[in-house]
Amino acid sequence: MAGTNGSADVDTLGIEWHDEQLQRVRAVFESVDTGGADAVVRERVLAEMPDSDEGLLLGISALRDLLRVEHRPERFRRLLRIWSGKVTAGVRSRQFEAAGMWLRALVEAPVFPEEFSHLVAGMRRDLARDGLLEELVTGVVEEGSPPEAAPLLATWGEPLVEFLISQIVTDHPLVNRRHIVDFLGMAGRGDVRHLTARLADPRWFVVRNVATAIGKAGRATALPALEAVADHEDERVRVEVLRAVSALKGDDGTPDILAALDDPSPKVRQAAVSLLRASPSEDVVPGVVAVVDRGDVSADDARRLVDVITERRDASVREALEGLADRRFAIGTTKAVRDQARRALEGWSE
Amino acid sequence: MSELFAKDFLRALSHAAQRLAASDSDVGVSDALSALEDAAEVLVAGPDEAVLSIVGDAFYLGRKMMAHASTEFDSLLVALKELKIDSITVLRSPTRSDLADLAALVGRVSDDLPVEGTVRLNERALRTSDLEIQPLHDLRRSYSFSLDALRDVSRGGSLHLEGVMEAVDEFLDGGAADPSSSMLLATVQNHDEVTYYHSVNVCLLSMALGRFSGFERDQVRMLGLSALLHDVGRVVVDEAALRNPGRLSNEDWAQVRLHPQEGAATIMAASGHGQEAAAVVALEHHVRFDGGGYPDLGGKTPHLFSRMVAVADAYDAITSFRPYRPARTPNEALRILLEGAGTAYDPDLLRLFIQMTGEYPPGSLLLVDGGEVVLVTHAGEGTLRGLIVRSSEGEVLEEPEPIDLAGVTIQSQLMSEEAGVDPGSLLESAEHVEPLER
Repeated sequence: MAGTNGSADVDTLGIEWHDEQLQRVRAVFESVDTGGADAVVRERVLAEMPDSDEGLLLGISALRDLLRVEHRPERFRRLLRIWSGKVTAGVRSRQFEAAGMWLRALVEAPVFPEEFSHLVAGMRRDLARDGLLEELVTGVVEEGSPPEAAPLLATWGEPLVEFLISQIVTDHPLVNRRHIVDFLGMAGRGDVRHLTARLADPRWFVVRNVATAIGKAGRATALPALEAVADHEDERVRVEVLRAVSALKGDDGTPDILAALDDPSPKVRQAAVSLLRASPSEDVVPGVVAVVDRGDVSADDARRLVDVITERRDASVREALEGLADRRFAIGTTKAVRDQARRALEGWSE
Repeated sequence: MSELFAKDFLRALSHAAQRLAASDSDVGVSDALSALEDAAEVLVAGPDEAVLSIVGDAFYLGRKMMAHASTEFDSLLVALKELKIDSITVLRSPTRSDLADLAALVGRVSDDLPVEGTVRLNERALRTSDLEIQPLHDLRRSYSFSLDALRDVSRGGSLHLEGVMEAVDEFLDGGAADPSSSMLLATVQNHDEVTYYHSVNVCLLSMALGRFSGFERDQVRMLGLSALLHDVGRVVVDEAALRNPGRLSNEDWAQVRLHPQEGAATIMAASGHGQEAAAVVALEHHVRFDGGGYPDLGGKTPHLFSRMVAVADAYDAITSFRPYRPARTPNEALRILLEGAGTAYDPDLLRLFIQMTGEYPPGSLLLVDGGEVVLVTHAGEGTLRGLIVRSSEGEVLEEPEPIDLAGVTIQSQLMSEEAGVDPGSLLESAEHVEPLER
């Protein structure tokens, strides 16, 4: 109400009308009398009219403003309850984009007074209770994992990671494990440390799924943590770590894959061969040639590696194959490589 | 017997009932009863008795409907209907104790229905055929509906936006976007429910401005919702500070400055998708165009709706009586608003508002050259028309006469008390004057 707003009417009572002010008033009144002179003004105002779908952004903006200016603990708690209600409503109505935006309103680029950090942390913990995460995970799956759910999962962070880990551990998870790992990956996009911390889990299957999720999260900052478990005692873990490292490093990951060809586990080596086959890196051909040249891989692996480079069908491959095929005095693996290369070249000419 | 006297009586009755219901101090109750006694004396000074009836949604004085009083004393009307009181007959020389019984009954302090004495209830129930029936303007019904929606917030302590939205829809269906009707009705005031009436007035003015600016119905609807709720922070916090005579204490002022936050949080808790603008307006309606004001939102320019509501808010506040200052005329209000153009208020919106209202907005009471008093009913876009409500001899006209004010010299503006006319009471008469073209 402007009645008590000093700027509106209280302070301006009894103002003296100076000539300049009076002229300005008259000018406006005169323009009014001419009528229709303000089409431009009207257009300017209409151009500012918000779209109906901007409502959510408006609400979030208002909430952030409220969080910024509220210094009374009880009223701040009320704002947090409102925030929690918005997120919950979004999840329950499966409006995941809206839920994610409300969630980020508090979490990202925080605007609230520092002294209320503990209240925010507490409310975030509370939000993860009462089955809301169960509803979230099952809801996202039932809706076909829509892309707009990804930001919501990414923002939820540690509580969601903890919940998903519990789903990995249980015998009867709410949803398919493939979804759980996918969601873990999304949850790690906001802060991948929530996932890397789980690489120290004593359960091999947890570490394996987390490694897979880290690969999906796509955060290169996770590499040191991944590399630290690259020699995990369980071969299934090492396979997933290799895949994750490859995914995160891209072309730069070729040396890691080539190194994995020395792994004692056939599964790891097979995984490495598959990764090399899928890699577009120019380093693959010389790298593979160097490995088979060493002669310390098995004959079967060597044949597979020759096949890997053969499939690439470019000039550098032919040259490499010719080098391998020209070998004399070949025995064992070297012979297997030479024979495979010669067969490849025969096929090439056809 | 004047409708104004009847209004004074209803006002005094409403105050006294409130004081009794609130178990106010003895002095407060005594003063309120004395005022009621005085108003009753004046009401029956001429005739032997005065009969105030309640039929439908309106008060009647004798056979004549008091349309504006019905709006102004809506809560009293509701209370009397709930008590199944059809008529109040005040006989000559009403006694203080009879009037006190009536106030106690209305204030729900007592269940005793006075049947004898100088104030009698339900003795003169009128038949419809006895009355000068005229349709209440749809806007009046919507006004009452809107007041109820706000009262529900106060009573229940929580906000149900669907109910408020329905009130806005009623307004739109009743023609609230028409500037002239809206501005006339927006002159209604109530000293006991200042915030409610102010909120409804601001809603009316904002919707008219929105429509004038070229908004679509849905946009006007959202603007109306935002405007109706702009002061909801006061509704849920504290109405008492507003009734304090004199300037606000520092404590009261600090409390008042928190109402945008309270309102925004209340709306946000209740709002669904698409209704968020209302929370923004509640939060920002005291943030100035230049980013000043309160709360301190870091100097950002308020949202378009907030800036529109700020203009309507200030206009209604300036033209309304407050315990600590008198009301100003509509024209003076425009001048005061212009002082803040570009600083407190968006100059573009102010320009549109003035273009909509004209120099003398509907509701203005003008003393013209011939000595008549004219109520402006239609203004803006180069037109100025109204109703002669008081003759040059000073007689208040029962049947106001239309007048085109083009070329008529305006001597001065009058406050409604000076003119002896309540502008809003002529809404129905003004309907017969050619509406403002847009």
